[in-house]
Amino acid sequence: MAITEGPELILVDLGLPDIDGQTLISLMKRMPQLKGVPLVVVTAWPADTAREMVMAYGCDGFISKPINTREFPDQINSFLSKA
Amino acid sequence: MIDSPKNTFDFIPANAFSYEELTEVYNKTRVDYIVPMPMNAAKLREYVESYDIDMSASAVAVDGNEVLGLSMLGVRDDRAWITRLGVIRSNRKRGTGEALVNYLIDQARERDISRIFIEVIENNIPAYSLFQKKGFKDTRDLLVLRRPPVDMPLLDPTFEVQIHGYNETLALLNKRQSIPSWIDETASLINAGNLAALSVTLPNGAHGWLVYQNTVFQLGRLVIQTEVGDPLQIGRALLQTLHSKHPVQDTKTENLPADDPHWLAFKEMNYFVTFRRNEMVFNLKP
Repeated sequence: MAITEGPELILVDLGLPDIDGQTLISLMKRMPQLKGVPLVVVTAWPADTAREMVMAYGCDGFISKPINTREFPDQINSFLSKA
Repeated sequence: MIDSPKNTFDFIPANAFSYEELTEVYNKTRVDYIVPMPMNAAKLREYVESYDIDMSASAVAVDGNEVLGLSMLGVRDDRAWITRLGVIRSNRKRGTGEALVNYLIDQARERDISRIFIEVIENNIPAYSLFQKKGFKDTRDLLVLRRPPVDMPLLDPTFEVQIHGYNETLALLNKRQSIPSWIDETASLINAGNLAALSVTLPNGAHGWLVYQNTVFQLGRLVIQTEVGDPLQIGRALLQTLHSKHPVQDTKTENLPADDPHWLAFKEMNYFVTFRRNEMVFNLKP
């Protein structure tokens, strides 16, 4: 879907039961069709661990869970504006 | 049934439930867990099979029709392993966790178990305190490592690399000198499947080997051993060879002892620690 829909931003939940989020990110980072699309991690990991993962996996940032629904639109806009 | 001044618990063996039911309970116990670890039914089944979980010894704690939590017991020979212990958030502070641990210790005694192991995630104070209270003692610190695919320098052409088939891989594991945790014991690796191995000999005669699990998108379950020479040099050579051979796969490996002599090699090869565990043991027999 990410390849066919041409998203402007991809959110990846690291806490998915069906697939390892970091492995999914590794795959997407290698897809030429997704080059330049911001990749943002959504995670319940502690902030320092999330930061380290974002850096190691070349993501554009993270949003902590539980998501603050009031802040969420601004968080998304800030990632979109950097794209 | 166990009575406490405020609570009455029943324990239903886990094999009375479907994997879907157990997964639902497990995920409810982990909604606020220190490390996010959700599962689906297929992954839980795989977990049970990989780690020799005794589903008749494992239990779901209930109070009437209300499910309170669960815990599982792996059993191998005279050793056992407590895992997946969790209490649903709304039911905490009732002694359920301690009751589950007591139940599993009793199950272990019935099975003539000598030692029970547990790994507690670092900074999980309630769990650590509970097991300490029950008489579990610290043994060592374990690291859970990740490595994203990163471009590797060209492999040193002076390395003599050998790729091993399945039977040779098992033979290497029979020679391992490190003391594995439950999840990277040889039985766990064999149960998990997709094992591969390589060994490296350097011009100075240093030699070592690496066993790992190779799945489509991920490498894991690394077991690394230096037979001759410097562990840092051999670790570096083995990991460089591994990642040159598998350049696009993400890597996750659990429970490398924090004092493992190859740890610096892992760091050099872009591995980082996602979290740590404290391994603890309870001796049922002197």
